[in-house]
Amino acid sequence: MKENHVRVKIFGAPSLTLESREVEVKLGQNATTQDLLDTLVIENKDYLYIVRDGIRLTSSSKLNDGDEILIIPPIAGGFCK
Amino acid sequence: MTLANPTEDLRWVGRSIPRKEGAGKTTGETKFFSDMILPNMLWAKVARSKHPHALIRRIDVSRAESLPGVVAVLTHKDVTGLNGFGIVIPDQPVLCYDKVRFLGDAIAVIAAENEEIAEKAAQLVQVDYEPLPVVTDPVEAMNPEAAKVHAKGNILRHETVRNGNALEAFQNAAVVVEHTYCTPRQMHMFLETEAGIGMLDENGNVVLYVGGQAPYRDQMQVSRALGIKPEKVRVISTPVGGAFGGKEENTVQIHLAMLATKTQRPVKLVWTREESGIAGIKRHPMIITTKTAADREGNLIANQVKIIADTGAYASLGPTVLDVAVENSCGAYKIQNVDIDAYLVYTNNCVSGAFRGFGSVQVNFALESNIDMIAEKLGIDRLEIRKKNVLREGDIGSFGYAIRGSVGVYETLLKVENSELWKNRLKYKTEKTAAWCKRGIGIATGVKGFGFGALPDFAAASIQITPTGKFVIGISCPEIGQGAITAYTQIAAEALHCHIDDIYIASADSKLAPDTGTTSASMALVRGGNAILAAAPKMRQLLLTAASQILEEPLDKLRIERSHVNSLNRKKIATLAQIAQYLEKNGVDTKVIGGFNVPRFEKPAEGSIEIPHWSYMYASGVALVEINTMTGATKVLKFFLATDCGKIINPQSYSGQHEGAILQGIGFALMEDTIIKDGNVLTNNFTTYIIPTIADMPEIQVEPVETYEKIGPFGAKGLGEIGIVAVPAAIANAIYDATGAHIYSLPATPERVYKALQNKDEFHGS
Repeated sequence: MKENHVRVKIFGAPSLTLESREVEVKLGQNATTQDLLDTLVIENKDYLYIVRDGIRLTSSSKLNDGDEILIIPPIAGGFCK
Repeated sequence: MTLANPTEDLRWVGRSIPRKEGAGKTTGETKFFSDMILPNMLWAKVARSKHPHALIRRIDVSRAESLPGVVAVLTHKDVTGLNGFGIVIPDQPVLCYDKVRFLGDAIAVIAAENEEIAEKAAQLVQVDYEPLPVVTDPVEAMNPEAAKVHAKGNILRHETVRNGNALEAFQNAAVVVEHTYCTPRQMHMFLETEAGIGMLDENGNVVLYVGGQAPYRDQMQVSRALGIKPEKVRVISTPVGGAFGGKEENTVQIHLAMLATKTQRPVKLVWTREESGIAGIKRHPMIITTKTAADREGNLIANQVKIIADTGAYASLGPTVLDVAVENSCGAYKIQNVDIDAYLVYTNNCVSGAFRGFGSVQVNFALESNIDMIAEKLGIDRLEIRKKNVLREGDIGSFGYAIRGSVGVYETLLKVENSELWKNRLKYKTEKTAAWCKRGIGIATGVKGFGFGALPDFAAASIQITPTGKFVIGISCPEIGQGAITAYTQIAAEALHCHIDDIYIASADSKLAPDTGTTSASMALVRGGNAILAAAPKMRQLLLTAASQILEEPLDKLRIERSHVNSLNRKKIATLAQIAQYLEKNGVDTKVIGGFNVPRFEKPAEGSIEIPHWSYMYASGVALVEINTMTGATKVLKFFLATDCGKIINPQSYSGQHEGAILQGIGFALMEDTIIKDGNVLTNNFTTYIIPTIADMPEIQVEPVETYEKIGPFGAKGLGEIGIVAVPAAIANAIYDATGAHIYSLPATPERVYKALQNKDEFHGS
C-alpha cells in the first residue's frame, strides 16, 4: 500500500517534552489529521491547532504525501486564508 | 535606521482621529456586560476553596440546592468535557474534584433567581478538606522535599538559553556587577472585574457576552470543557472594562456556558473585587540574579541571569511569560556572551499570567540597575554607556540572531539626550525643595518583541459592503481600551479610499468576524491592520469589476472615490450603494477575507519556546523623583519617554497608551504588590491594594521615533506594552541618583526606601 510521508513541526508547549521539534511520519494513503495525532506522544493533542499552508485543519482532514504540518498551541494562530 | 516616510500621501493614517468608542465610554453611555440585565436572567456565584492547599474528601451541595430560589448547583460531575483550562497547559480544573491548590479554586457554581440567594447558596456548599502543607515561597517550592502542588513536581519549566562563552568573558572583564532583584505580584485592577452573561440562542448554541481579549480562544476553551464543537459556542468579547492581559485567560466563560446550558436561561456572573483579587490573574513575581560584565571602554561583554518566577497554582500563560523574560533579560543591547537559566515554579499563591510587559518589566529592572552600576564603576555617563551598547539595525542580538525589524533604540536615546528634562537635569536636581527631600534623575532603556516570536501565527479580517454603500470590517481582536477600533478604521479607510465615517468595525464576535488572533503581545494592530490590508485589494477589485459591468467601462478606466466609482473622465458614476445592490441582486458574495501570515524565524532558539521575535519595540525613559528622606516616600515629578513603535497610526492613541503605561509602571515601582500570607490574599481590594491615582501622575512627555517597520501596516509596530518596560528601572535608578541607596526589591515603598537610606549599599532584599 502506498504511504504518505508527512513532515511535522511542533511548536510551543507541546514540543517541550519531545526530543525533536521536527519529525517525519509515515501514514497510510487515506490518513487524516487524527491519524497523525495518534502517532505523536504529546499531551492534550485534541486541542492543538493543526495547520497546513496557513489553513487550520479539522481532525478528519485528509493528509497528502509531502505535506508540511504545523502543530501549534492554541495561544497562537488565527485563520489565514 | 529606516524612518517612516513623513511625506507619504496618507489621508487618515498618522492623524489623531477621535476614538470611535470614546464618547460612549467617557459619558457613561456604553453599557458593559456587567451592566446588562436580561429578562428571565439568573445570577451566578462561585463557591471557592477555603484552603490554599488541601485534598477534597467530600463535596455536599444538598443544602445549597435546597435553598429556595436556587436553580442549579454544578460540580465537577457536571463538566461534560475536559475538566481543565489554561491557554498553554490546561492544568486548572474547571471545578475541583480531588484537590485544591489555591484559594481561588472553584468547587461549585450556582445559578439563582437573584445575587443574594446565589451568594448564600455558595456559602452552603460543604466540602470536607484534608489540609496539606502550604507552599508560598517559590525558592522553597523548588526543593524536592517541598509539598507538591502538582503531582509532577513544582518546577513547571526550566529553561536554559546560552550564546557565546559567558564564563570566559567574565574572566576577561574589567568590571562585573552581580545582584539579586525581587519584583512584585502586580494586579491588573481593571475597573470592570471579570464578568459576563451566558445564554443559549434559538438553536441551543451557547452565546457568551464576556469582556475578554480573545473570543476564539475563549470559544476553544469553552467547547473543550463542555465537550462540544467550537461552532456551537459564540463569544462576543467587547466592550471590555479594562484588561491589560488579565482577561486573556478563561475566567467566567466556562462556568457561564455550563450554567446557561443547564438552566436554559440567561445567567450573569460578576466577580466581586475581592474575588478578582483572589482568583484573578496576576503579574509573575520574579527573583532575578543578574551578573553583567563590561570591558574598560564600557562595552557590555557578558550577562548571566537566573530567574525564578512564581506562577502560582496553575500555568496559565506562565511558560511563555518566562520565555519573554529570558529573551528580554539582556535588554536592547548586543551582548555576545549570555547564559540564562530560568525556572517557572508552582506554589499555592494566586495564578500568575499575562500582564502588560509579559515578563520584560521584571528583568528590565534588574539589567538596567546593573548597567548604571557598571557605568558608575567605569566613570562613564549613564546615557553614553547605553548609546555605546544598544542594538542598531541589522545587528546580531544577544541570542545570535540578526535583528530583522526596524531598530530605533539609539534614536530613543538621542531623544532623551535632547529632552528638556535631561538637558536640565542638574537644575531640576538642585531646585529648592524641603530640606529633608532629595531629588534624582534616572534613566533606563527597554525592549520587547511584539507578537509570538517563532510561534506560527496567522490573522484574518473580512470586509463586507452593505446595501447602503458602507464597509463592515470583521476583526476578532477586541478593543480593550487601546484604540484598536479607531486604528482599524483609519487603516481600512486608507486602504479602501473612502471616508472613515463609511467604515464600521464589527469586532470581537466569533460569529461575525474571522479569527484575527488575540488582543495580546502588542500585536492586535499588526495582525488586524495587515489582514485588512490583505482584504482591501480584493474588495476594491470586487467593486471595480461590478462597476465595470454597470457602467460598461473597462476596469482600467475606473477608480474608487469615497462613496462611488468614477470613470476617469468623470462622465459615468456608480455609487457604492448601487454597486452593493447590484452584487446582491446577482448573487455575488459581498464579503471578502484577507489573511496575514506573521513573519517569524523558522526555528526557535535552542531551549526556548518562541525566542527570537522578528521585530521589537524600544523605549528609553527618564524619571525625575523626589524622596522624603524622613519617611522614604518617593514621588515621581516628571517622566520623559521616547519609544520606537514604528509608524504612529494615531498620535493621540499613542500618547494615551504611553501615559497609562507610565502610570502603571509607577504603581509597579512604588506601591503595588499583592501581599499573600500562608496562601491568604491580604490585599484584595482598593482599600488595601494601592494603585496610583491622579495625585501620583507626574508631568509626562512622550515622543515617538517613527521607524518604518516592514512587517507592520503602513510601517507600524505594536505599542501597548513598551511604554511600561523601562519605567520601574528609571525610577529605581533615580532613587539611587537622589540618595545613593540602591533599590533591589520593588515596589520601593516608603518602608523599603527608608531602610535602604539607613543601610545604603548594605541593604539587599526585603
